[in-house]
Amino acid sequence: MTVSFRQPVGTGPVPAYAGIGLRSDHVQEILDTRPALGWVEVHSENYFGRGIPRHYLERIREDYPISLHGVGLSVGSTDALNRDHLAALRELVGEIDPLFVSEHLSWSSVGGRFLNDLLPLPYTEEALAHVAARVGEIQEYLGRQILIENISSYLQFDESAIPEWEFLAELSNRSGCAVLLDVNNIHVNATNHGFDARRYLQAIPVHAVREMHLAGFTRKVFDGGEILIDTHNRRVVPEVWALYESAVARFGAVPTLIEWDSDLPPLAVLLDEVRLAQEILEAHHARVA
Amino acid sequence: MPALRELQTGFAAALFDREAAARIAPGVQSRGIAAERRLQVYRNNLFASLSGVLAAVYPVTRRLVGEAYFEQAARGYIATHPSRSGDVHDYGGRFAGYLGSCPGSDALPYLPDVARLEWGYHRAFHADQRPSLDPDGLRAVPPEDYPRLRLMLQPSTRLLASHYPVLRIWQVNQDDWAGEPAVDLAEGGVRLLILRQGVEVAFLPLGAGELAWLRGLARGMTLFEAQRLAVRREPDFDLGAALQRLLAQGAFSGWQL
Repeated sequence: MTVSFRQPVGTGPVPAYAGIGLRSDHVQEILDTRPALGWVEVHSENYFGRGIPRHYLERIREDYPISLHGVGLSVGSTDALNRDHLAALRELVGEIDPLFVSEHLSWSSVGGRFLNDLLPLPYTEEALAHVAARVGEIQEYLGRQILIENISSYLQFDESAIPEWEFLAELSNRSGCAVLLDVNNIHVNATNHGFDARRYLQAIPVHAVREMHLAGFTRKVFDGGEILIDTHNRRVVPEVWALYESAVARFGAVPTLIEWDSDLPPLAVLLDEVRLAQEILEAHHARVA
Repeated sequence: MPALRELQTGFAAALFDREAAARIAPGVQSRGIAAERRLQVYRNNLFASLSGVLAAVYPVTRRLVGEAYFEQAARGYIATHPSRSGDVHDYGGRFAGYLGSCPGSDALPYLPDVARLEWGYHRAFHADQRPSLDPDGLRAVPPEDYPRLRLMLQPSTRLLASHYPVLRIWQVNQDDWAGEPAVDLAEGGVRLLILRQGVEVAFLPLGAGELAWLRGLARGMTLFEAQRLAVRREPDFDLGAALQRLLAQGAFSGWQL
């Protein structure tokens, strides 16, 4: 693979690169070895305090584009938007000048209590109107488009009246947000809730998808069935690679991220996943070129 | 109440309380797996993730009490101290006090102070470091204004006083510690300034006067008001020496009149 990785994402002979979620255990090795990575993504909240992690992020930023991925804004919550959180995010965005700013199609707090998880919404007209308004408010405050990512979920509410893919497509349509398509989460939800993952892909507007995520999951067996849990602790499975190829065929070669959060392996394992994603991106590029 | 608000309130309650879970279960599709089981996945995520957060902030505390005790204490803390911030680095600030109230905690009387030291380290690690005030920076203050001079501490500074040698306990429980592994509790207590210095967090041992003086400054007192506090604790307190030492350590970020 002979690709210059220092070009900005979205330009040059290859239109997009694969990157990794940056975790503190790998920072020193990345600084020392400068591996071939298109970009890195970080959890926004880890850098709010301008603490020691920010020092290392500034150094990483000298060589790699950065995207900011929020996990605590609680976009779908019915609590008022947390202005302090949003102000900290805006300040970080101003200082880091990220490729993308993304959040999740979920909620994580209510009544001021934060549950530190990406919790599912009921897919109703009320929730859609609520989330679209919130995303609009966030984009206006930040002065830029944000990306909203589909989550893994382990239950569905009876009151959900809209399929998840329609909800996400309509959210993008109404709020003007882009989509961060987590291909693994589609596979997980297709298995957990019994739908066709490719139908999901077909429902998402091609122009809306600006970034994709890939990760590994855990299978948990219960009486009466199994639930796939989005644990980000292993390699991407073959079914998800295949679904990713379908997604690239539909949405084009968009920047793609390997996420790994627990049971963190050596950096080389992540770089190998990056290589696999990069091969798919380049094969697509060769076909359309 | 709108349906979404009600659903979120009920769902949040269900993660802490099985009766609340039973109340929302009828609104959850089972598809072969009972709604209770599905809610249990979320309950596990919540407790495992926050427990992981506490383990990351309090590694020495965890090592001292062992994994099983720590997990149990963490579960109890999570159940009674909800996170109030979307930035999870804010979580866990009252864990030290909670540990002191746990059954069996009198066996390790120094434990809450070790946890306080770890919380101080954590907060300093994630704190901003402003340009430090250097001795030259103070020359601009006319001597007659010294009585009403206020010094601003760096945002990372934390003060800790303990009857136990908690810094030694912390040091011998670091992974790279190669020295004598035992700590004699009879060594006595310690007073510390915890301070970020570049990419490190420093622990600076303080005299009784220095601690009182810094506490005064942290509360917004003038140099001389704080000095009065310090002299009460340590009659020989030397303001000039303390000022010079702490300026050299980069503890201040500026001054005000």
